[in-house]
Parts: sequence; structure tokens; C-alpha cells
Amino acid sequence: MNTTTASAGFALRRKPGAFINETWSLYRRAITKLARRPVILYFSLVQPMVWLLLFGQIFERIARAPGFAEAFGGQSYLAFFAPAVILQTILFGAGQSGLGLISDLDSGFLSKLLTTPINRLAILLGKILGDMTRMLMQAVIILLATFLAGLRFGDGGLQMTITYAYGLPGILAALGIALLFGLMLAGLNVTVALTTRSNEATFLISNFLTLPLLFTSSAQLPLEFLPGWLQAIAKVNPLTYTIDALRLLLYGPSSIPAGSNAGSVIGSALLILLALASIMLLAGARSFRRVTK
Amino acid sequence: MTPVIEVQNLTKTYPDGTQAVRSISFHVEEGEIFGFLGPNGAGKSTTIKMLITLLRKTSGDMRIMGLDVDANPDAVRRLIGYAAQEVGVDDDLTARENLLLQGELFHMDRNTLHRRTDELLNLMDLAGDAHRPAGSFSGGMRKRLDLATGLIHQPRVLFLDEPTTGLDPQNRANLWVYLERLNKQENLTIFLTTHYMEEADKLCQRLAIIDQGQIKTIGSPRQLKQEIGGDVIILRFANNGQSVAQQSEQAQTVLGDAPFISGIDRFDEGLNVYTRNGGEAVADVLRLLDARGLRVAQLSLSNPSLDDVFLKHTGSKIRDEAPMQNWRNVRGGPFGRRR
Ligand SMILES: Nc1ncnc2c1ncn2[C@@H]1O[C@H](COP(=O)(O)OP(=O)(O)O)[C@@H](O)[C@H]1O
Ligand SMILES: [Mg+2]
Repeated sequence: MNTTTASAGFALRRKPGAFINETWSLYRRAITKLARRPVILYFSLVQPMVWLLLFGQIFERIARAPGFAEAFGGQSYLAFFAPAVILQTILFGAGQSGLGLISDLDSGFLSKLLTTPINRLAILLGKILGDMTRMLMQAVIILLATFLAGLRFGDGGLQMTITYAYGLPGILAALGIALLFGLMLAGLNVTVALTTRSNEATFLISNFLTLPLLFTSSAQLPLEFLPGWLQAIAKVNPLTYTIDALRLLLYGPSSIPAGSNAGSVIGSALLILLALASIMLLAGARSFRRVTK
Repeated sequence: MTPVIEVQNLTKTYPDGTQAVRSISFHVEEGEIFGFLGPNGAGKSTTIKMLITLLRKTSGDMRIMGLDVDANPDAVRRLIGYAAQEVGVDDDLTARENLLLQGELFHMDRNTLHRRTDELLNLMDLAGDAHRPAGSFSGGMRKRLDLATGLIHQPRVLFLDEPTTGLDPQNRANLWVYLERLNKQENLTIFLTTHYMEEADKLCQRLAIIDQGQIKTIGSPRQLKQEIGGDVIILRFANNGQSVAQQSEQAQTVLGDAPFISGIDRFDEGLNVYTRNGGEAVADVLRLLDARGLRVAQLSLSNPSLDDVFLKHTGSKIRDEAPMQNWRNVRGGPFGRRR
């Protein structure tokens, strides 16, 4: 008998669509896991949701006060704050990306995957795409909650207090930017998880990052209301650029700092996020390759 | 015919300098259950990981069905199945989903995959629980599912690293039945590692005794035990003013000259004494020791076991080995223990 691969009945050459099929199978696994354990979806939503509704109430008056209304783009504080809360959710939730990988590493599931003839990067990609789906769902939930919380009973029945300047296209574009932000964080978290191989470290790092990043950005207040030193920090905080881009896409030019130009707000957010996401993903892929070989 | 597994002078030195595997050579024939018997840290997992393409060798030659493992990793992956000591199933997925996912990653066509999935669920007696998440399974069931996922693509050889470690005796014996069934019904070649003597004895047609990265001897359990010949009288000493080691040494000298004794091996608590007819020799052994004032704390007489074979070839009993710390826990990162 001829004992080469031919006898095993498998083609040696990989089919062109193989990588996509493998990624798709692993992505489906991630989604199935999410559906079976929806607590992962809600867990990182709880705190942001409380913030949204609480701060939305507390600062409502300020946003309506003369002189301030302009800086908030004529929107309610709730609407103004919502983009920051979306990013907060993503920041909190990003830790889950790394935790999933560590549990696959510990359980032996990853070893099992690695003894199949799949492209190694399909494992990472399937995982990250699953995480992005979760983040997208979370962002949509926050947007919906904001919309609902913004509804008021007026003379003519139920009325919207929030106006979306560019309608659905603007909302979709905002979600796209939020996802790019999520991609960057997923890359960062995967790198941390694979380097430390520790649940605790991964969890702590993602939680330690969240609040300082939020408080040193334009999340709570427009930049011009921050003390000078904080403004300086906020200007190098990628969160500021991301939040400004989200506000612009959702509520229009009046919601961004006076004097800044819409094109450059979107442009700089895209540029910064694309650059950071690429770096983080490359780092993630590198640490993944180190772990798997 | 080409052996299913051929290994020549295989060596692995980890980057930290640990010589985990030192120039081992062996081969496994088609349809065989072949075992690696050795204590913790002997180099069993390291060997298996190199064979299944998860770890790079330092030097040597490995072939599976004639294919050089390092030169053709993907082709080799299609020929082999693997189940690690840890159960590598996804607890959130059902048994069926676990099997289907694994099969998809081998690009099996739909019909074949579904047929094979049903076949394995039946073979492993999991058909009734196929729709339940693996996380709800008992230890024995998860292990069987793990085996099944490693077999989805109809591999020619199955690699099992300590398949029954962590299972209770009943589940262990149970799993042996499944492994024998696979071996017979699918003519599956099985390479397994174990530190259970009984497991190696019961399951393996041939086995290699491995210690400190080296193969000490290879043969069928029967052959290996016959090499010892006759019966084994196991003498254990207790501390009684004189240390166990001193007593063992004296006893070895005393008995070494006796014509009816064919060999003596020492272990931590005493001696293995080999003789053609144990029943007759016991009295003489005790008389000789008594004459020198040596008191035996415990004596037993038996046919040679693999434990005795192990002692003969390595100079220690396999059970004497203190469990080694798992290196992965040590490397668990700045926060120590994982999980
Ligand atoms: N990644 C590693 N780096 C350094 N040393 C290792 C590594 N993995 C295993 N070892 C060492 O190699 C030796 C053999 O380990 P292993 O193959 O796991 O043994 P077994 O599976 O027989 O218990 C041990 O001394 C172990 O500590
Ligand atoms: Mg081992």
C-alpha cells in the first residue's frame, strides 16, 4: 500500500475559500456561546446603563441652562452623554475578549483546534469577530435606551427630544466608528491575555483602563469646560476624538466644539483608530503566534 | 509495511535548557495500542506534542504513515486525532455541536460529517445526550466526547495523553472498554501515555518505559514481566534505630550470595528479590536475614508486575515519584495560579 497522504483521501492543497469557512465556523461558535451565556452581554452593560440614566438626570438642567445649551449642541445631556457610555460599555466588555482566549488555552480546547489543519489566524479572527458582534449589540442597546429615555409626552402625544442629524446613515456610521474602537481594544486585550495568560491580570487591566480614559476625555463635558491641564490630556486621549466623531455623526455639527471642522473630526478619529487598531491587532496576532507555536 | 509511527533519535531541549526528551527511538505498527509508561516529568507529553505538530523537535526524525511530521504538518494533522489530559471540549456547545465544529474545521462534506457524528455518538454511548451542553456532562461523558471529537475525521492514529488521569476507577475501567472497542472496530492505531501501571498492562499490546526523557525498554507487558523471571518477593523495612537504607543495603549483601536468588533491585523502602520459586524461597530469605538480625517490616510475594519492571529498568518504583509540580502553573504569569 502506498502510504502517502493520497491514501488518506484528502487533497493536500487548501481550497481557496478554506480560510473564510474556518473563520465562519469559529465565528458561529462564538455567537452560539454568546447566545447560551447572554450574561456576558449584559454584564458589561449594567454599570454604563446606570451611568447613562443617572448622569442623564443629574446634568439635565445644566445642558438646558443659557450659555451651556450651545456647547451641548442643543441636545439633552442624556443624548450628549450617550456616545461616551457606548465607549464605556465597549471598554468594560473588551476584557471578555481576552478571558475567552485564556479559557480556551486552559481547557485544552485551543490545543484541539491547533491539531486541525486550519489557518491559525482563523482562530483569532473568528474570536475577534464574535467580540465585535457582542460590542455592536451592546452599542445598539445603549442607543435604543437613550432614544427611549429621550421620549416625552407632550401636547401631540409621544415626542422625540433627540434629533439624529443624519438619520440612519449617521447612526450606522457612528456604530462603525464605535466598532473600530472596539477592534482596537479587542486587539489590546488579546495581547494582554496571551502575554500574561492570567484571567486576573486581563480583567484588572481592562477595568483599570476604563475610568481614567473616560474621565480624561470629553466624555462628561465639552472640552472647553474642563480645566486647562485636563484639556491638555484630553487632547491626546483617543477617546476624545472617538466621542467627538460619534457626536458629530449622531447629532450634527452643532454638537462638536465650536470652530472645529466636521471633516477633520471624522478624519482624525478614523486615522487615530485605524492606526491604533492595526498596531494592537498586529501585536495580538504576534502573541497568538508565539503561544501557538 | 510502513509502520504508522516511526521515531528515530528524537530529542527535545526546551529553551530553558530542560532536556525533556533525549534521543528516543521507537515505532508503532498499524492496529497496535502502544503505550508510554512513565512517571510525571518523564517526557511523555513533550513527545506526544512533537508528534501531533504542537511542538517543534530539537532534533531527530518523526514520521507518521511515512510522512515527515515537520515537513507536512497539515497532511499529518489529517491523519491523526488527539485527546489531551485536559478535556478539550467547549462546555457551552452541545455534544453534537462540538463534533460538527471539529469536523467543519477538517472541511468534511456535510453528509459525511453528519453520518460520522451519529456514528461516534452511538459508539461512545452519547446519542441520548447529543443535544445537551457538554458542561452538563459527567467527567466520564466529557472524556468520551473529547475522544469522539478527536476521531471525527477518521484519523488513522489516535494520540492520547494520560487519557484516564483524573477519572475515578470505575470511569477509568469504562474508558478502557471504549478504547478497546475503537481499536477493534475501527482498526485504530492508538498511542497513549500513562503513569498507571494497570492501564498500560491492561490496554497496551506493546509499551515503552520512559524515564527522564529516555526509553529504558520496549516490549509487550508479558515479555517485559517474563524478563524478570519467576516470582518477586518484596521486602520492606522500617526505621528501628537503623535507617531503612542501611537495612536494605545489608540485606542486599546477605541475599546477594544466595544461589536461589536470581536478582535484587532496591527501592526507597526496601528490596525486590527475584527468585524462581517464591513460595519455597520465602522461608530461606527470612532465615538468612534473621541470622544477621535484620527484621522485615512487611513481606509480599507476587508475580512480577510492571512496577517491578519499572524498578528494574529505572532504579525506582513509579509510585515513589512525588508528584511534580506542573510547569504550567509555575509559568502562570505575575498573578500566580491561573483560573
Ligand atoms: N514548556 C516547557 N518549558 C520548560 N520545561 C518544560 C516545558 N514543558 C515541560 N517541561 C519539562 O520537561 C520535562 C518533561 O515534561 P513532560 O513532557 O510534560 O512530562 P510528562 O508528560 O511525562 O509528565 C519535565 O521536566 C518538565 O518540567
Ligand atoms: Mg504529561
